[in-house]
Amino acid sequence: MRTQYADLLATVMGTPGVRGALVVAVRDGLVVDGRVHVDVEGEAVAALAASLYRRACRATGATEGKSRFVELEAAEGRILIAGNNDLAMMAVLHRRANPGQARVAVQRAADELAAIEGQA
Amino acid sequence: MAGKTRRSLQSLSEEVATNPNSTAFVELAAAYRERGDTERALRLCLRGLQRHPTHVEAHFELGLIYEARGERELALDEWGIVRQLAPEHVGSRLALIRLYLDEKRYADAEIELAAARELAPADPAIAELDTVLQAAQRDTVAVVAQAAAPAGLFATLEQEYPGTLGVMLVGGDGQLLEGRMTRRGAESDRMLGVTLNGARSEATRVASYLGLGELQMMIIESAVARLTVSPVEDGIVIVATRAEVPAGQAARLVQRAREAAEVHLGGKER
Repeated sequence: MRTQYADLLATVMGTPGVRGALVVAVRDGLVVDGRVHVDVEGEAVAALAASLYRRACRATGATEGKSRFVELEAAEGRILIAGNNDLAMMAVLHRRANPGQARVAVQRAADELAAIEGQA
Repeated sequence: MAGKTRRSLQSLSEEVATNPNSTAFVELAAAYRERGDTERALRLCLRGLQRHPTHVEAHFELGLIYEARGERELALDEWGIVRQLAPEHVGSRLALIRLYLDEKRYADAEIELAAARELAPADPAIAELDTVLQAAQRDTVAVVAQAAAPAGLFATLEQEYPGTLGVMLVGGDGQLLEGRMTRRGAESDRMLGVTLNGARSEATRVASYLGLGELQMMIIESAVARLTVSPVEDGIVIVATRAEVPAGQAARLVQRAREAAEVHLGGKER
């Protein structure tokens, strides 16, 4: 089923080294829409990364509605999360991905996500 | 006022003398205490409690008498009895809080304050004591952080990299070991350290569960600032820069801060 987020997800997935892209409801960590490689557990990524995102936002005194970007860098890959208190765009990166390029893609997608939600 | 006390003393004394079962001894003891005659107040109260061993106000008054005589432990015992007999007794809670504050037992004061707030949320005395407690805790934290965090370790870095808001080294237990955040108070630095230490633990679990391997760094960006959290031994280094600082420059700063922290921690171990 094609959703209104399909183009955004396709753009993020088109970035070299991205293994998964997800639109996630921040409050409950549920996947709204997503595309992932077969070896990526989309729902687990969404749930765990959303929890981390919420904690990071709380730790830094995030204001309701303000956008945030959180990046988790590990030995074998990265997770990028950008969004506001409602919806976030997440990307799972291979360790050989170009992080700069992926960050730009995820942040742009998050801006467009916010714009779509604003229109809704 | 003095005349009123004398009159009260007389009528109270008569009542206690004519009716040994009267509970007026509590008021009479309070009157003696207020006049500074704690010896007589104490005798009266102890005698009255022999007949009325579960009289809440008598135990409360006895605590006040002991406090006036400087016998704090005995005062604590009496107010402890009040707390058991009548958990809803706000006066004893307030007395305990004041005594704890006086003895700098802030954790105990906090517990009593929370209980008192539940009993009487609108009581201005509770709000007043809360303010005193918060100020005392702030002062304590500031003194501890000041002693524990000489800015020296990261001071050069902060000068070398424009746009740096602060660098901190936080131990595995969340305690601030070195550094500080510019323009932030010691308490907010401590809180930031504790919460980001928790976020680091969660990030480690997430990375491990998702098969991403060992956590190397976590970056949190807002419109105005970028926070980088990187594990160093069992602690973390937190680097804050303005959002407009290029990511590459921030990454170099983080690397330098990590190296400084590793040398510092290594030196401590030796």
